[in-house]
Amino acid sequence: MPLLDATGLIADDFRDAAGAPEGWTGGLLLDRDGSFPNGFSGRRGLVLPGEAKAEEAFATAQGFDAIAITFPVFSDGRGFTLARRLRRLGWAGHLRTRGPLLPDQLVMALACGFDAVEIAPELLDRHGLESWLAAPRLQRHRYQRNQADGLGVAVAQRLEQLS
Amino acid sequence: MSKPDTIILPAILLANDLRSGAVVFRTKADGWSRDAALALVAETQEAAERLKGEALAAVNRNEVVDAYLVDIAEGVWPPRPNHFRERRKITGPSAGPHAVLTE
Amino acid sequence: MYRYDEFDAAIVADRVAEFRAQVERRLSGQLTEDEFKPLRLQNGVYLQLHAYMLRIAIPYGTLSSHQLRRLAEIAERYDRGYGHFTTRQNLQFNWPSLVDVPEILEKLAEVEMHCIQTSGNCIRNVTADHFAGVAADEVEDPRPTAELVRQWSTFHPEFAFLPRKFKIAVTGSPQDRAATMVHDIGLVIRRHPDTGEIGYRISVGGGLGRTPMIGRVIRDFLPKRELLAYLEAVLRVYNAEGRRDNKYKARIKILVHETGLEEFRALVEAEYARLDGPSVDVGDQERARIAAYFAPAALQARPQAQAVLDRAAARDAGLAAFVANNLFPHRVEGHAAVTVSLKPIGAPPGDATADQMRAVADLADRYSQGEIRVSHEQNLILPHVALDDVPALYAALGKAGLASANAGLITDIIACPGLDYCALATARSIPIAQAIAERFADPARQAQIGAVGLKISGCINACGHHHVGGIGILGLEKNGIENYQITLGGDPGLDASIGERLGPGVAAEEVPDVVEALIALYLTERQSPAERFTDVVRRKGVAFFKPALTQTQREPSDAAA
Repeated sequence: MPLLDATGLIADDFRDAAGAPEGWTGGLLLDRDGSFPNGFSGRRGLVLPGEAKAEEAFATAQGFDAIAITFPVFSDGRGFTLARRLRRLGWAGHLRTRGPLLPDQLVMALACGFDAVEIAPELLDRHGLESWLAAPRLQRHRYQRNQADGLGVAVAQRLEQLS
Repeated sequence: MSKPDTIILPAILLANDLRSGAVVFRTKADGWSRDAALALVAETQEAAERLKGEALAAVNRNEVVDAYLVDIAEGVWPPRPNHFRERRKITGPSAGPHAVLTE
Repeated sequence: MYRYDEFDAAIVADRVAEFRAQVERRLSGQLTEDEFKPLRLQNGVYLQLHAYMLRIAIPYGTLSSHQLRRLAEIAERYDRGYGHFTTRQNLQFNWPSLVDVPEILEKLAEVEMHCIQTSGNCIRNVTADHFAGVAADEVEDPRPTAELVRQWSTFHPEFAFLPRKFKIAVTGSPQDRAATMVHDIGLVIRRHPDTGEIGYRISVGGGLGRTPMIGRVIRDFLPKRELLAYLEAVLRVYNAEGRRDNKYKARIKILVHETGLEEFRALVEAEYARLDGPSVDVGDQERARIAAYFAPAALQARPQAQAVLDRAAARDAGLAAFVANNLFPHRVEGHAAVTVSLKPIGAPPGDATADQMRAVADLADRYSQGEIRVSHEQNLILPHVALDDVPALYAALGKAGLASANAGLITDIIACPGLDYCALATARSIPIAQAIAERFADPARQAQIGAVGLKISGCINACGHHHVGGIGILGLEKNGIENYQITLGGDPGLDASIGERLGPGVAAEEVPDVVEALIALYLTERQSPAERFTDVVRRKGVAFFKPALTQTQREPSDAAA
């Protein structure tokens, strides 16, 4: 599954636990039905639905390295709130989107605290990588600060971006 | 597999042109026209199903949007949809600077 | 009024470029219609019955003459020479082509306008009292608040894909002319009863449509500087908890109703306690920067002006009627806000031609500091007119067909575009408005009747606000024919009420007769002209008015509606 951040395509060293190649030494992402293979000692990730309760999810994810939040359709924006709440609770690990988000949503996902977005291969085919790479260019300015600084009307950002 | 819903006949296919938004009719010549008099009429269930298939194909080819079958009155030409909403759709607004008062 | 700095302009320019690319990707098929639809909606592009429709944002209903002239140009160049002002203070064009929209957006951006978030499941145009900065009883001009909320809500990355649309309204006056109680969030600017500090009373979960509801007060007093953080808390709870299983149950009003007010308030307050307010709220400096754009108009008191106007009105009955109905008292002596009615008898309510837009722009420059307002009642307002200029203004408006002296009267009807234009509509609304207006055209009769609040919606989505009409009319369908349900006793103010159904629906041609019968009953029953139609409905109940239906039935009424 292609993985993208603000810089473009990045190497993905996580696989889904179900169907990971034998001897995989990277990270494994576990969804609610899954389990890690016996003796697995690599990095661990959790797959969560967008409607998961943030406190429960944060508690479950203690000791994990990654979380993937699933968007069932691109128009279901709950994952953006879950991401922000997880970051607020103190989640410092890797955070990615999973599901059919549009290139037009890349920048907002990153602004909400996601590190990266997974792209479904069929979407990549139809939209073309260029659409994702173009997105940050087309949405350079925003009123709100990014998650790292706390979203809000951006006095500081206004001054920074003008210079 | 369940039987598909019976389509009310006779029927024409209406859509909006993707680029302009204008109301267009699927024509006998396998195209789209703003002229209702050129509309293809489906008089059997098979013909109507075929027309529905053409609608989907045209949407996927990015020619039109919101394509759907509209049942029309028998023996009236140009085609007169049975429902007043679809009649209004093909005649234009009854109010405003370009009002068409008839149905 | 607010002027863009480079930053605001850059944001709008980004959006124009982005939408241009999105249109190209749609035409090439990279974006399917399902994917493109929310993207185009967030740029105000609807697909209607006959054509696309473009909804242009007019933030809190404030326009400059320069902007209005550009709207006129766009109407002529890209549309059919007219536009429609809406119940959310926006402007709609009914005939643009999709391929022209990017260019239209560029032309709008040149005059600091846009179509951002005028549709879609996001935070919409923030509306405000159209007499902001004019009304003497105003605690504070609501527009700096509205502008602040506009910036906070524009492209908010967390709230771009809400369960459903979200509408916010602000009033700065205890006379709520912004219908805050039927908005998803309503803000009333008020003073703290003890400290005199300025803050907001916040209501949530008002709304019209299929399940009309009056908003519930969630916070009686929120200090001004905490506003954005608190709004963020409300939106976050809604985004996370709002229903997404059923489009008709997805507004925040349903969430508040199903959760219960106490529990809902607790959820919001818990979220509010957890979030980092200071990182969301702006400082005093930013608030002051925005407020400076809305400094009171530089007007001098004109103590002689009233007498000049009175003398002119004594000589001209038409002017006298205009003065009696279309003027709103200004906080500065010798001035008024003048309503330019877009409800001439027999014309579609809220429409203006390009020529009329230009005429109003010119008159705004001449008589109103270059400023125009759009009210949610679909009229235009010249907010800062000297009273002794009113005779000349009235004459000029007359030449442009804009001098109808019916502001606030029964022919000042709110009507959505209805089935003549709208793909969602079940029945036509404009011809109903025209027929009623023609029936009540006589100015003396209108003056006698007074304010009624007649509002017409062409479907259950209630864009014509029929639920809060003194007489509300809802266009539906029955047996393959348009059928109109009538409700009575609605009110959009702070003492808001939802109208009650009168009885079975009636056919289009019967509606004016029913309205006449209702008015006749009202006139015989009212205790004085000061007792408005809605007041009598509240006092006597809807049952008192039932004879209006039975008297006008041409056939025995059906048992069920």
